[in-house]
Amino acid sequence: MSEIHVPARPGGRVALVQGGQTFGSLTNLVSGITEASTPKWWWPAFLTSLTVLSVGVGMAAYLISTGIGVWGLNSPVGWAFDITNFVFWIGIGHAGTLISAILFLFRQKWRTSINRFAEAMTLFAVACAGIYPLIHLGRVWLMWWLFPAPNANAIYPNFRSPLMWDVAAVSTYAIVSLLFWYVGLIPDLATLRDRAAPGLRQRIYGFFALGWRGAARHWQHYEMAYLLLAGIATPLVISVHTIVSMDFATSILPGWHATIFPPYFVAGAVFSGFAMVLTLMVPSRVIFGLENIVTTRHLENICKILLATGLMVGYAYSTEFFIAWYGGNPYERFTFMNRAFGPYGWAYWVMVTCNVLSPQIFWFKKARTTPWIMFVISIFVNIGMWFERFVIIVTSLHRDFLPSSWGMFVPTWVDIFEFIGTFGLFFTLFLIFVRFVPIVALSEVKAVLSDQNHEMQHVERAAS
Amino acid sequence: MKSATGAIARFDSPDHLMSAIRTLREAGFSEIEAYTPFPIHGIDEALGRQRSKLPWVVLVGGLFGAISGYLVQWYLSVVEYPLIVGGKPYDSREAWIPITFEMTILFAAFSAIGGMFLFNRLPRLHHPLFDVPTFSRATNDGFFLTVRIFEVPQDRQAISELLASCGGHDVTTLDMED
Repeated sequence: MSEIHVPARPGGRVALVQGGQTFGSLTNLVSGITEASTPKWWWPAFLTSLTVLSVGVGMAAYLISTGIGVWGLNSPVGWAFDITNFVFWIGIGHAGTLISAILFLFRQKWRTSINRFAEAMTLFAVACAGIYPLIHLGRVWLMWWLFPAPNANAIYPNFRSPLMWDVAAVSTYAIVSLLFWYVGLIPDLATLRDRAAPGLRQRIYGFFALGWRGAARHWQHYEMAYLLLAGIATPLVISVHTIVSMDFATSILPGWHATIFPPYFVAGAVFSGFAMVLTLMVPSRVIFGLENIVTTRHLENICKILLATGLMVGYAYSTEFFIAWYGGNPYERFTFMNRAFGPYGWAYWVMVTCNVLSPQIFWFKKARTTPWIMFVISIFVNIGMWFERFVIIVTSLHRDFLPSSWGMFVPTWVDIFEFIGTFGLFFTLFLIFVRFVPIVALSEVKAVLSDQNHEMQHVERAAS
Repeated sequence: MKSATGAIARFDSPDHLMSAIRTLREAGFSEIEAYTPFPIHGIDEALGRQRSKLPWVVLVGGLFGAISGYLVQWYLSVVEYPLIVGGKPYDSREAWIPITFEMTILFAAFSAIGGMFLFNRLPRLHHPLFDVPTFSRATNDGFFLTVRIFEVPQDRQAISELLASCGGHDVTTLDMED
């Protein structure tokens, strides 16, 4: 008997596709979700989301027609819920790109089961994020001043401003994420087209599948395009949150003016995004019967990433404090003491508890393999990461250099309902997605299954 | 566009498909195309294809984005309407970099996708292959091969037998184009 070079389960790991699936059964499983009659829970869920969304639209309309004074913003706290929610949502988006691009470059095959899902989450989160800078302008109709077009005064945007960089970064991110997601969808849309009976459904999927027929020549260019997109999306996703952090870091405000901000923000973004992936994935895999594709091993991997990025975030928190003391700048030292023990100290400790302490449970395998524990922790992390942004933004602003200019921020009902409204947008889009689009990257999972079959054959041949 | 007659067969697995490609290539066929539900490793080499030229398209697109992104910022801030903001020089080169970078990415992405569509002759909503009744399995669990018959002076019966002997099912002839 010869040596076994390719173990059926690399490193003794569990297979990624389980339950004796074939190519055909995978097609049935994933396509079936969109083909079956609408599940009973879908309409109530959709209408609820739509109602919540319309509340958000109402808040935005009120804000635009009245002025941003309807929010609790004041001087000195000129940025509060709006930018907190912007950074919160855009951060959530980062996990999708990380899964689809960075894990692709690292040849992490487990990504294929969750990448479609996570990329969709990215798009919807970026859509939620995009609302805030827009409506925070107050005069939304002057948004085009952000683009290099000559306005009434023939003055161009100030490209030295990080806020302009942010416009470029976030719009590029939204466009590239959408393209990346759509390119990944084309072969699967073709699958839905080919399964549909002649009629409207076939025409609609046929239109979006662009005539894909899976020729080897097509796959060749397609795979190259996918690789290149992954290669350029990787630095892009890092640049986006780096630039978001520069909105703060290039100012002179103690608590914002720190070189640690770019890596700290990127780690936090990935952390928060993976938490949201878990929040959505744990119930969805059960609802749609995807346990054989999104296995416990997939969830465990996500938990490990949460633990790792949670430690990075915790390290950043402690480094900030250390530098505040070691740097010897009395204003910065005050800002950090105020952050932990001032009037918003409770928010700081919510953040530390949720982000640093709660993921530590993932050191235990039992927690990494028990879905309800993951779900609870993921909710904690979502809350903690929202508070992180709130803490960074509001506690730094509310007490700066001069005690005479200190103030407090209290959200108004418009602030709160606008934030709730973004969840309405997020879940409305998400429910449309799970109903009409293949939620698992079918062609990629089939390729993983094919490799897995080869490994099995190899082992069987070697054993016999 | 010249019209010629070809043959199509369906195979059960990537392995059957690959061995059929090898058999047909040895028999002298060169215009072979495979249709599969997912990309198959090594199929480009088996079909005698060269590496995709797409990276060059993306390089050009990325360079265009970088150069134009930088120049727009420089021109508007230095030539068209010089304005001192925050005591920084007109030509604040370091500050142009983030937007330059983003434009590089944006245009590289556009060219990656545009180039892919161009090379693949997509979108093209209909194709004669879609008239083959079994072809819908090419996006499900079928691995298809098409060959052009006129290349080797063999009659239809012979090519059908050859495809069937490699493990092909549903062997039929079809009118090919391109």
